[in-house]
Amino acid sequence: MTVASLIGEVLGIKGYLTHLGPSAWFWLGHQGWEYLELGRLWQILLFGGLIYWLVIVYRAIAPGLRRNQNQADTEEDAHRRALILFYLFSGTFVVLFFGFGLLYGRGTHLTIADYWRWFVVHIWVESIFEFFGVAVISLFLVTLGLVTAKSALRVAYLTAILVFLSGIPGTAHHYFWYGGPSFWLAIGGVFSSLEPIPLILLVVRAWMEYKSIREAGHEFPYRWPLYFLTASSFWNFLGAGVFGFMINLPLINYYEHATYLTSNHGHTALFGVYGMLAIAVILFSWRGLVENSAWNDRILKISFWGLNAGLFLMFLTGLLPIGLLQVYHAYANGFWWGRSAAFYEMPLIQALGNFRIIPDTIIIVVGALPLLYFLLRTFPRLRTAQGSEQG
Amino acid sequence: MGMRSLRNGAVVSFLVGMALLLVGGFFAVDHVPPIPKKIEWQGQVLADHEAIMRGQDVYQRYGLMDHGSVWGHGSLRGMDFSAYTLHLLGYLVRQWHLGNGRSDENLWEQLPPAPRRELDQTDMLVIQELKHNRYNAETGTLELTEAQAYAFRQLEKFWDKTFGQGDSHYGFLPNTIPSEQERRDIAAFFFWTAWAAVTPRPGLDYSYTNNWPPDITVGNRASSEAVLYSILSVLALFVVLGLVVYIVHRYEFFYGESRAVEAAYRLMKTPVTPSQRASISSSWWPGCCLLCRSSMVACLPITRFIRESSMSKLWDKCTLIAGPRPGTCNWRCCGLLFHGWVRPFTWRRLSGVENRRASACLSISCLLPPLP
Repeated sequence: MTVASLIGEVLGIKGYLTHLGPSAWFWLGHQGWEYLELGRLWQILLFGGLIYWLVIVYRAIAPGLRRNQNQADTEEDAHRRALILFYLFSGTFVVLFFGFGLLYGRGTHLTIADYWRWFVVHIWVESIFEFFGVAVISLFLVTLGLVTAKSALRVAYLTAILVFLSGIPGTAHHYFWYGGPSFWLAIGGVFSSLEPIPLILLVVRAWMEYKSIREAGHEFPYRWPLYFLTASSFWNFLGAGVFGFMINLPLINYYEHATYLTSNHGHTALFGVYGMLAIAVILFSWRGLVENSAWNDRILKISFWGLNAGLFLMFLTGLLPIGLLQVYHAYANGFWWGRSAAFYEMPLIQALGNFRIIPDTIIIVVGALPLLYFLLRTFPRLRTAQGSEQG
Repeated sequence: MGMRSLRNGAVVSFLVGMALLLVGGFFAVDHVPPIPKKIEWQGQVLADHEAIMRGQDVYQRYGLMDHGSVWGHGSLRGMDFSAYTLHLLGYLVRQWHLGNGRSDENLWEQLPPAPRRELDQTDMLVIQELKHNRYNAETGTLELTEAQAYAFRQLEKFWDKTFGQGDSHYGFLPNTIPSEQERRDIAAFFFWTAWAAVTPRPGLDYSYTNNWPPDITVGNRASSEAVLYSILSVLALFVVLGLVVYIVHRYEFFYGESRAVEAAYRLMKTPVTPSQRASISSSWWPGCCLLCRSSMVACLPITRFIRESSMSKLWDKCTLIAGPRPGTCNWRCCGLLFHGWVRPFTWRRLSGVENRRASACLSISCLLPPLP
C-alpha cells in the first residue's frame, strides 16, 4: 500500500492519471494536502489497517478486562482494569482521529478541508500520542510490579487532563491565518500556550531518571535504551516546549508563520521526541532478545552521541539562525520577500544551508549507520524462545 | 485528590477540549472566505466560481502544496503563492496608478519588483483600494476596479510563464502545469487567496485571514486581536503553570524514586516468549527505511556534481524539480533530499503518513521522465 500510494502520487503529479477520469488524481494520486498526500483510496485502506490493529490489541487485552470482575474484587484489581481500559481508549483515539481526515473531499472549501486535516496532523501528535504513550508506560510499569496500579493511574489521569486541555483546543493555533474567524486566535493562543506545562514537569522526571541510570553503572544492561528515552524527554522540553512556545503567541506567529522557525520546532520536536523514543523502544525490546555477550554498548554510545549532537548542531547552526534571519527580513521587506528566491539566494543563507551538510552527515555516519550496524550484528545472536505465552 | 475526581477531570477535559474545537468549527463554517460566483470588471467576467475551484484542483493535483504554500500552509522551501500574488497585486495596482491608467501591458515580464520599505502617497491610494470589500454577497459577484482587473490579467500571464516555462530559482520545471487552461485556473485560484488575505471582512477591520501575510505595501499588519490574545496567552501560561506546580506538590504526584533501572533488571529475568521472537520481523522495517533514506542522502554529493557539470540538463529532465543553476540556490534541492530522511524514525508513530511526503515522492519520480 505504501508503495502503491507513492507511485500514485508521482503518476498524479506527472499527469498520467488523466485518462482514468476527472477524480482519479484525488483517489489514486497526490490528493494535494501536505502530510496527507496519499490518494483517498490509500487513505481509506490505511484507516482499515488501523481498525484491524485495534481489533488485534483488543483481543490481546480483553481477558484482562474481564478478570476478577465478579469474585473478590480488590481495589487494586479495579485500578488495574481501569488502567487497561485507559489504554484501550487511547488506542481507539489513535484510530478514530485518523478517520477525521476522511471528512473532506475533493473540492471542499480550502478552510474547511484544512480544519479537518489538522485533526489528524495535530491532535494525533500533540494529544493522542502523549495519551497513548502514558498509557503504555504505566501499563508496563504496573505489569512489572514496580508501581501500584493506583499510583500509575493517578499519574495517567493527571497527564491526560493536562494534554487534553492544552493539546486539543490548542489545535486552533493552526487555524490562525487560514480563513477562519478571529476567535481562533483566542482559543489557539491561550490553550496551546499551556502545552509546555506537562513538558516542564517531564524535565524533572527525566533528570531523576538520568541520575539513576548513571548510578547504575556501566554494567547496567539497559543503559543505552534508557538514555535514548531520556534524550526523548530532553528534546520534548527543548524542541516541543521551548521552540514550540517561542513561535506560538499569535503576534509572533503572525510574523514567523511558514518560516524556518517552524521547521526548527518541527525537526527538534519530531525527530528529537518521537525519533529518539522509537529508537529507545526498538532497543528496549531488542535488549531482552539479544544474548548478553553480543550486546555492544560502545557502538550504541557512538550512535547516541552522533544522533543527538548532529540534531543539536542542525538546529543551532542551520534551522534556528536561518529562521531568525528569515523573520527579520520578512518583517522588514514583507513576508513575500522572506520566502522568495531572493532571500534563499543570499550568500549568508546559502552558506548556512551548505553548512548543514556537516550536522546531517554526523547524524547519518556517526548516528544512523552505527545503529544499523549494531542491529545487523546482533541479529544472529538472539536468545532462543523459552517458556510459554502468558496473558 | 481522589481517583474518581481525577478520572472525571480527564473525561471533562477531553470533552471540553473537543467541544471548544467542534463548536468553534461549527461557528467558523459560516465565516470562511466566500468564493465569488463571478469576478468581473464592468460586466466583463474575468473568472467564475468553477474556475477558482478548478484552480484549487490544479494546486492539489500537481502536489504544489509540497512545493510552496497558500496562506502559509505547505512547504516552506518554495514561495508562499498567496503572499507572492498579493504583493504583486499591490505592485501592479500601484504601477497602474503611477501611469494614470496608461498601463504597461508587458509589466508581468519584469516581476517581481525590488522590496520597498517606505510608503508614499500612491501607496495610500493602493491600500485604500485593496482594503475595500467589493464582494456582493447577494449576487455573489466580486466587482474589481480597473486597476485590479489590469493586475488580474498581468498575474494570469505571470503564472502562465512561471508554470509553463518553469523557473529554476524556485525549482519549477517547464510544464509543471501542463495545459494553458489549468495555468489560467490556478492564477484565478491564487488571485482569490490573495484577495481573501487583504480584503477586510464585512464590518470588521481585519481580513479573512486575520491580516496574514504581513506586507505594509498592501496595508497588512497584525490585528488588534492578535496583540490582545498574545498578552492573554502569556498570562494563561504562568497562571496555570503555578496552579499545576501547586497541585503536583500538594497531592504528591511524581513523588518517589525513579523506577526505570529496577524495571530493566526485572525485564532481564523474564524469558523470551515465542511471540516476541516472532515479532522480530517488525523491527526490520525501521532498519530498512533507515538504510534507504541514508543511502539516498549519500547520493547527494554525486547529484551536486552532476548538476554543476554539463550533465545538469539531464538532471532537470529526470527530476520533478529543476536543478538550480550553479552558484544560485544550489542547496534547495539538497535540502529537499535531506528533508525527509529523519522520517523512518517516526514511521511507527504515524503509520507512514509522514513518510509519504514529497521527498520520498521525489526519489521515486527520478525514474520517470516528465510528460512532453
